[in-house]
Amino acid sequence: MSKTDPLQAFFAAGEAPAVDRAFRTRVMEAVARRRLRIEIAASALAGLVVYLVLLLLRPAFETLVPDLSAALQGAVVILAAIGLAIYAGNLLLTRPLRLPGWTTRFF
Amino acid sequence: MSTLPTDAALVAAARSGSDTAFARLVDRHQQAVRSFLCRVCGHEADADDLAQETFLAAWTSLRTLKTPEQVRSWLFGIAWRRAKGMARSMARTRQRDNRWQSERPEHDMPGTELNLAMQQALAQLPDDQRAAVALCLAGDWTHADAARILGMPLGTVKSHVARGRVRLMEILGVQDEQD
Repeated sequence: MSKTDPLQAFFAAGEAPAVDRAFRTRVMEAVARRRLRIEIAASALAGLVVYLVLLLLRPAFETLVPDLSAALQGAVVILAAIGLAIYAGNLLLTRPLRLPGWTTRFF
Repeated sequence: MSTLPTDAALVAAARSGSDTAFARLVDRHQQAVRSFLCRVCGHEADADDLAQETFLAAWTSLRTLKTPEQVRSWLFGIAWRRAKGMARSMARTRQRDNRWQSERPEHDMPGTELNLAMQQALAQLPDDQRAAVALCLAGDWTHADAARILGMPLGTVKSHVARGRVRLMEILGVQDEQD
C-alpha cells in the first residue's frame, strides 16, 4: 500500500488510542478474576481428591488403629487450639488503633 | 541505554507468571487489535469487549503459543475467531446503532466525519472481505499473514482485498491514485 493511498486518511481516523491505561486495567482485572477462579477450582478439586483418598483408605486405617476417633482426638484438640490462637492473633494485630489527638499533626 | 524487551521475552515472562510482562504485551498490541476489531464489527464498545475477551483468552492459552515472536498475528487470529462467533449479535447491535446514529443531529455524532464515513462504508462489505481489508489496507499485514490469521486461502484474501478496495473507493467517492 502506498503512502498516498486515498483510503489512508479514512483508516487513520479510526485508530484506537496508542496508550490506554483504562483498557489495560480492565484486561488485568479480568485476568486476576480468571486466575482466582482457576485457583479456587484447583483447590476444591484437590480437597475433593484428598477426601476421596481418605475415604478409600478408611478401612485400612481402622484395621491399623482400632479406635481411630479416640487416637485423633488429641490432634484435633491441638489443631483447634492453634486455629483459635491464629484467629485471635489476627484480630489483635489488625484492630483499628485510636491514637492521641496530638499525633495527627505528624500525618 | 535500556532496550525494549522483545515479544518473545515478554511471552516467556508472562508464561512464568509475570503479570507485568502480560500487561506490557497488552499495552503493545491493544491499539492494533482494537482498531482491527472496530473495523470488523463497526461498533466501538463491542470491539472493546471483544478485545478484552481476546486478551483474556490469550492469557489463558499462552502456553499453546508455538511461536512467541508472532504473538501479534496469534492475537489477531483469536480476535477474528471471536468476532466471527459474535457476528450475528453484533449485526443486530450495528443495525440498532446505525438507526440510532441516523436519528441523532449531525453535531451530536462522535468521532470525525472521516471515521464515520469509513465505518459506514466498511459496514457494507461482507464480513470476510471487511476483515481482509482491515488487515491489509488499514493495517500493515501482508496477504500471506492475513491468510494465516483469517484461515483463508491466499488467493481468496487477495481477491477480498482487491474487491474491497474498489468497493470502498466507490462508496467513499474517492479517486484511486494508484492506477
